[in-house]
Amino acid sequence: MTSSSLPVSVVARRGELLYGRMLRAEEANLLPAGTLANMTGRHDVAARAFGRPGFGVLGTVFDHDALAALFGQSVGDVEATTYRTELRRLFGPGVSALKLGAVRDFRVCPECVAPGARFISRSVLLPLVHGCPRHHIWLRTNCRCGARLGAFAKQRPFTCSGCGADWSELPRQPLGWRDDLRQRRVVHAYAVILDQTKPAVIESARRLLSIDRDRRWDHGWCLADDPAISAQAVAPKSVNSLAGVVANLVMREIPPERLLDHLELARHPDLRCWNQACPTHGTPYAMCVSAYRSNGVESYCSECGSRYLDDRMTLTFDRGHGSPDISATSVARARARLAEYGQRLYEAALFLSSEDEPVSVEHIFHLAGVPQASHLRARQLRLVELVHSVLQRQAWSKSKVAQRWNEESAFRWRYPASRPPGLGSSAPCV
Amino acid sequence: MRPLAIATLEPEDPAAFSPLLAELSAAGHRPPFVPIKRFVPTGFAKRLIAVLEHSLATGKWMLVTAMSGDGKSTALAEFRRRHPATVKAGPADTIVRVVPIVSTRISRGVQSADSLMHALAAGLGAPPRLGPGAFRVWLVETIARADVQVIVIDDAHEMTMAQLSYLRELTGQLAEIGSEPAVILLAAVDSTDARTCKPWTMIARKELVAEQFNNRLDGADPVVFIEGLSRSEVGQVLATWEHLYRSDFPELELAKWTSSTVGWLTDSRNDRAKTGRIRMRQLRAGVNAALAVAWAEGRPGLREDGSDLYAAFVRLTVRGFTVAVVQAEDDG
Repeated sequence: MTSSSLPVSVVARRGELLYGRMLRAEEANLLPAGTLANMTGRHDVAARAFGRPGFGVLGTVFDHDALAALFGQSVGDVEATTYRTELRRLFGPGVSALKLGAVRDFRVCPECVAPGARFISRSVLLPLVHGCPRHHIWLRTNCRCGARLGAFAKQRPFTCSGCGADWSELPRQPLGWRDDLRQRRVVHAYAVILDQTKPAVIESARRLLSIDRDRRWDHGWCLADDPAISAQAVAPKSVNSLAGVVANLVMREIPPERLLDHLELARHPDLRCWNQACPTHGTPYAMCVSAYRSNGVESYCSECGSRYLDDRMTLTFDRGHGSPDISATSVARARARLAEYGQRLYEAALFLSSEDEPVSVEHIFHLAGVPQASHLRARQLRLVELVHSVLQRQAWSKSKVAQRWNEESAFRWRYPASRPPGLGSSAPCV
Repeated sequence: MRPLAIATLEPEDPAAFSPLLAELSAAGHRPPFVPIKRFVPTGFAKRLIAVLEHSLATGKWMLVTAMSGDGKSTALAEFRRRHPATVKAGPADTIVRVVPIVSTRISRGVQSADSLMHALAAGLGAPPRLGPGAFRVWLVETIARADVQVIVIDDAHEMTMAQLSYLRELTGQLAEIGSEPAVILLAAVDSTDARTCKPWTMIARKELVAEQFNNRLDGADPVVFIEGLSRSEVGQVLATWEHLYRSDFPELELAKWTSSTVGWLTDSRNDRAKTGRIRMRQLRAGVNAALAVAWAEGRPGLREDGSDLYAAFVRLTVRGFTVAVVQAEDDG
């Protein structure tokens, strides 16, 4: 603490929203809400506008150096209360807050802001998040008296500007199990996307969503029942914000980790997949180079597993490939080998997962005698997914949650839709 | 060496003995002399700090006076340094700053109660932007929470009645919530009678505010006059400087000029109040001026006969070190 900091400083809390930290500091220093905003906010912004949720995404209306001095913390601690670091990492320095999506209302969790806690999470700024991920209750936007909640409305901190009631006195309504599932998946998707460091996530999401044609298991209800999710789940080419990406992922029940896998692939812009049965037919989205030979470039499609030498197909596992270079007999032989690989991998995974030591996919491939070729890791071949499902099923079966949940529980990602023969239900991901 | 009497040099050649001119002439081949500003625990500083420590320990209000230039503000800074602000863990993930000493300096240009209020708040941390009424309430709560034990008003001879009234109001509100810091008014006087200082003349009036303020000065001998340096204390100061400047002036001898220095500084033109005591400001100004000239001339110490030291104190006595005339070079 220095002489330029407030008489009472607040300790930084992980995951806290900037508005929450300012309110905590004001409450600790017996100041009315909005005092720090007036001291550090831009002069061209009206004082009553400082509490808008949109301004809290990047926090650019406030002087972060001045706030850091008042808090007695570093500028990094202040920026950690916004999404500035994550959005700049994903979209560059000139990013707009709209890249996260639009949030119109200031929301709080009555349980989180109870006296003694006084915590407002950054997640209340995320579009599509309507419930508290910690307490599984609905976030509140209005007081009992009907007044809209505002962060800096010239009242005592953490109280309603209309009636003066403490925010902790707001009603607590627990989320229904469907809403809870939706919120868990929304929060999980945001966490995965914001934590990763590779840019161009929206472009990658557009490609992924445009080629995704898998039909997934229907719970009997649709995750897009939420009007907010369905409103944001626009067509892939129209996705322009992280909210749109998350809405599509949740509605289609695509695990967000698959988006990361899509980002990790090294693409070759000059190569194309010519397998007509592949969703990436005619595009370079999933093409990867295996090796550069004297007679051409060896490549493969990470989606369907087809192999090429320059533009000539040398191997495929799909019958409707449409290439004159591959005969039906070759395809049948390849599919037979694939089935044998699957069986051997299943047995190896079962054997190794029964041990208590951690195992890797490479280890299982080696034990099963399956070649360590990259094209065999293609998504539609589902060999890697088979190994993961066996490993997760073993871990899942040992977990306490599995002892409570039955196999028909909806709290699991159902992917793929059809279950491989000889396997039980897939393990949960949430 | 026998002490030299001060000769009357008026009218004085403006170019004679100017530390600034000497440094300017040596600027091409030697950097300027930089006096050491380290705190020296003089006799006066020790006496004043002892009084401040007594008030801190007992919570008594005091009116402390001394001659201008004795070193009140310097001693106050050392007192604050010995009782620095600390932090302690507060409730609900907070860190509370504990400030045992809050001090501010009154200036002639700012004489409203609100200005005193804001000056006191600045010692507690960053003051918020609030209206006057809300700020007063906030300040009371913040002083209580910071566990302030002493409020020191430096240059209290510049205080106005409005500021005195606010100080009474502030301490009264603090007392209502259980916080009772001591208040020390540090004032400069031009005589040894502390009752001639302005704060006391205001307090001694028969007005309700003054009377209520007077009621708070209810300890034994709440009004104090701190004497300046004695002969032996001047000798200690000169010996200390001799040691501190040893690296720059290997042959510096200051302590042997103690008697002469005391004689020069107790001249009626320097000691108008006839206290028989030495002010630290005058002592420092004279010695630093002599050292600056010695440095500019590249000497390892003062002149053997003390003439440079003598000239410095003559200059100080006659017209002080306020004006120098930088003449144009002679064109021939």
